Amino acid sequence: MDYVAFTLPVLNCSKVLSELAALKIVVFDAEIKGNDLSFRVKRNERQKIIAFFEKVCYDYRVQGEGGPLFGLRNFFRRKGLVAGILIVCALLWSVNSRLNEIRIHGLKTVDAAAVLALLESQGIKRGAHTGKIDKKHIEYLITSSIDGIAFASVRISGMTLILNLYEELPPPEIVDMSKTESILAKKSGIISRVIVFGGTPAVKAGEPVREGSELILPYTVAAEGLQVPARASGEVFAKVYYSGSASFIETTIMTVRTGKSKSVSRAEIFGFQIGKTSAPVSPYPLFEEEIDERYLFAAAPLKVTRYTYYELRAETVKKTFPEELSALIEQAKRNAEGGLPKDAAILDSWYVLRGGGTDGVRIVEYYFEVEEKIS
Amino acid sequence: MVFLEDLKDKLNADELGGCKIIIFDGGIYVEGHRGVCEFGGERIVFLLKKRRLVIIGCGFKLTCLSYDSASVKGKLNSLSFEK
Repeated sequence: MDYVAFTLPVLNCSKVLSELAALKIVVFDAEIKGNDLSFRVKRNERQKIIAFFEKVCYDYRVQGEGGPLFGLRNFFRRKGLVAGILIVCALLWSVNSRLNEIRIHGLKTVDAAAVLALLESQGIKRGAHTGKIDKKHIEYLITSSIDGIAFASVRISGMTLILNLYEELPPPEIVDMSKTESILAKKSGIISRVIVFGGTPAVKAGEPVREGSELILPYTVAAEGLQVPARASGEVFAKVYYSGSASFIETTIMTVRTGKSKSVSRAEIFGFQIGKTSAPVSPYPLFEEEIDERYLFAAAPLKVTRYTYYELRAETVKKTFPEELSALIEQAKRNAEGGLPKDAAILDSWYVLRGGGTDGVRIVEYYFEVEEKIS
Repeated sequence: MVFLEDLKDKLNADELGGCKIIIFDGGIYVEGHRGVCEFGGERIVFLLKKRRLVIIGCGFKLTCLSYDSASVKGKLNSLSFEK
């Protein structure tokens, strides 16, 4: 209930209270403070009381107003503030109903660019209205237009369009029983194990084979040497070798930072550049660039990209081979590991030093011996 | 003088003249009064039909006063009726 508080400096408080009560005015929290009577009445009785006090020439004071609706009424009296708040709310609503980001999950072999191109052909890109996106239609288009995608799930979270895509499983290998072909080696190596299900083995353990060599032949040998056609099937394992190298050069040129740097920022909203639109250029002839992208506000997708340029200086560095040997071995090992299959069974590893001639170039070669199925 | 301990029998007394008095923790409620004769921090007098109701205590505050009912908050010491 909204109220108005009055204070009256009176000697006969009871007379005032009785007169107010006789006027059917409800008085709240009446108390004597010194020589003054203070009380509260409902806000809608304010004018009635003031008229009464004016009539009887009471020296009254309005102490203040209050109540739950009082603050709200005061707030809405400030039209400029209310209008400003409404405009900001409308802007936030408008911005938040626009698409800012498209996330695609689940793709391993299918190119995401194809999905993005399909979405753009439907008008779905940064800045598009999220309320106009037909999710079911998009799901249907993706699964029917793009090969390799079995299922698509589209949802909108805030200003982000999230696509969860599931690729088709690879088709099973269909074996044509009518065709009789040899099993050929997919890689070169030294045979370690031969497991034959059908046909005749053409190699045995310990033999070196090249890529493309026959491993299992499509026939079996019956009595008297007669060759009977059969489907060649089986598994052949071999020791395969992977290598990597690293070179040592006595004198090298390295670039180091001088300590000087300069930063340039660019801002954009929904893909539109704000302010300077030209691409930033480094102020240094030899430099290293760092790019940092951030979104400043969650409500409005203002993207700020900061380009930092570090000045570099070229330095000539002389090294000795013994100092660098362990680092070279590590580097050669990393290079060799880069070519290894994921679940490689490493049997052995070693390194070899080459070079040392008059040119001063020395090479470290690292080898891995891995057992792999080559059929 | 009627002390608070003896009020139970007196609240329905003829002196009330049809008015109702309810005593609660920290205050008193009077219904059916005909006006306030005196009002102060330690003494309040209500005009009833036949008598006057005198309330004595300290720290009195009229939490609500209308033309026929009143609620007084404060420390009550005694109630009495006057002619």
